[in-house]
Amino acid sequence: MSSSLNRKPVSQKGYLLVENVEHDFVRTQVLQNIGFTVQAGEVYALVGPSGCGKTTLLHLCNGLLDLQDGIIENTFQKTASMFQQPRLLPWKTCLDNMTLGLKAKGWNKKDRNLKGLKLAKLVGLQPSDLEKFPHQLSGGMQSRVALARVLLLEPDLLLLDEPFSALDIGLKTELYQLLLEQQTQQDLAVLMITHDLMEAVRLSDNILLMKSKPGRIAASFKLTRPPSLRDDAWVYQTTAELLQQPIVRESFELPPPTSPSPVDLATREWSYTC
Amino acid sequence: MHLLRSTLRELPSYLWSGWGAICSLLLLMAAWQLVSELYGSLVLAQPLEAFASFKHLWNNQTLPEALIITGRRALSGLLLALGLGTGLGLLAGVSVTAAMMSRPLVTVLLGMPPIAWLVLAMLWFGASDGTPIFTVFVATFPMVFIGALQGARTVDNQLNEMAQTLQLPKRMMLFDVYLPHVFSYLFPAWVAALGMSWKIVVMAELLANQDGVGASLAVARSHLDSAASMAWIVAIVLLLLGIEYLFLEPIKRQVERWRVTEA
Ligand SMILES: Nc1ncnc2c1ncn2[C@@H]1O[C@H](COP(=O)(O)OP(=O)(O)OP(=O)(O)O)[C@@H](O)[C@H]1O
Ligand SMILES: [Mg+2]
Repeated sequence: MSSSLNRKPVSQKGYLLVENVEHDFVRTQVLQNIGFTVQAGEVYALVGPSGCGKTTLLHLCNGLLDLQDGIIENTFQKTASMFQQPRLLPWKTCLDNMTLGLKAKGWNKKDRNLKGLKLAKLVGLQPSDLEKFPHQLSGGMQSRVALARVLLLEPDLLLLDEPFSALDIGLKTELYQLLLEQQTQQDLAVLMITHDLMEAVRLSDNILLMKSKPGRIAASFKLTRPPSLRDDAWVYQTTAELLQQPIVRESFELPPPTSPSPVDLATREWSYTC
Repeated sequence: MHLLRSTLRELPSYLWSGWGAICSLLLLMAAWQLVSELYGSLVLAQPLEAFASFKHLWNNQTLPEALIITGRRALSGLLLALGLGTGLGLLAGVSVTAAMMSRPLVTVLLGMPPIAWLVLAMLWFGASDGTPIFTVFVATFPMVFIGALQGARTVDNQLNEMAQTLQLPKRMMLFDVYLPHVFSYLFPAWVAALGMSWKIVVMAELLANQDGVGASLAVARSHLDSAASMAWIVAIVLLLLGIEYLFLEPIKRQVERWRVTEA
């Protein structure tokens, strides 16, 4: 409930500014004129059809791709990225994979294992799983290890690439809760990619809708209700409302709605700009 | 240290699993007995004769001395190949051009039969230690080189990126990301090279030298001493088996624990 209330001036808290960013891969333009700003405590969701350049944009933000054109300014202290794949080191146990970032910061083994064990419980990993090697875990367990690996760093900006896509609904709900808790407690800024509009509606303050060929931002939706007050009914309702929007249908290449709008757009708690 | 400890811990259960291997070796022994009874001791000495001869050679120090000489030669050639092969292979793996240039060369080297190298080595080094050492070196070098090259070329860029975003320091990059991967390619190559070196050195000594296991085998053959010949062969095989199962296999199990699905 705090995210919009205690927003501090831009300069103190850190921000991620993206302006006029364009990107080409060997002669084809992948990103065109991308611009938005994420401030401390804000959750941005990036949705769009497969192949529209979401991952590319995220990799520009975390510095894995070199910026070709435009401005990206990241003044956050600690940025952590989670990838579309778990990317665990196959020769390290789960616990060692989870605590890799802490090891990089020079923590000793005892301290980082202690911290790792605590978080493992929160993301739903059993102590017995932690001694296993990645190939002995299910895909969902692997992605939980990857999520724990970035959360352990206590970042102030989280870049997430479809973090929940390999999980079942129950786990998803638990991890949404965990993410929102961490986010409000630590005034964390999040930029997350998702395929799932409902997930975006549940978690984010702003939804950036992308269109492909070339990837660009077609519309930006602002959700006014605080995430902690969003119950299931509200999430379904809002998702349905968004899916009625021609611009959303067009971007996902859905056919135009067959029946006239069953939802009442008058009570909507969101606004959008193109 | 940790590796050593867990290797030792698993040793008893590992040894126990060796019974199967011993059974099949005993069957082989029985077949040997059968053949030697069929064709007579001159063609193939009976196992017991061979073992008696083995004991005799062991007690009068000929066998241990020869083993030491041969082992020294094999190890010299092998260490040279491991060092140079690993170093050059990694270097070649890091650069795309070098990898492309060296691959056909190494394929030629790999395809060249060791006996051809031996002929050349005899021309160049005569009956000195140089002949077996060189032959072992050229025969095992390309195997190690290819292993190192493959390992360095296939480092996973995705893991690399992950490590970058976690801001792993250079030292951790090397020890936690690159080396374990490279080692998973290098280690099997090293093991293969070790087995190869032992066979090559015996062959080289047989044709080129006056001492060592290979030369002693040649002497036994020229005396038509079938029992002694078999004794030498038994010694060669035993040593190879010993290295393989008591030394390499347990290490391999530990090193590659993250790879295998435990049975
Ligand atoms: N390294 C690369 N070289 C050339 N083209 C690339 C490269 N990486 C991505 N592309 C292209 O850029 C486009 C955008 O890719 P990107 O991975 O950003 O898509 P995405 O929006 O993340 O898709 P998804 O939702 O399926 O993950 C795709 O058409 C892809 O083919
Ligand atoms: Mg993607």
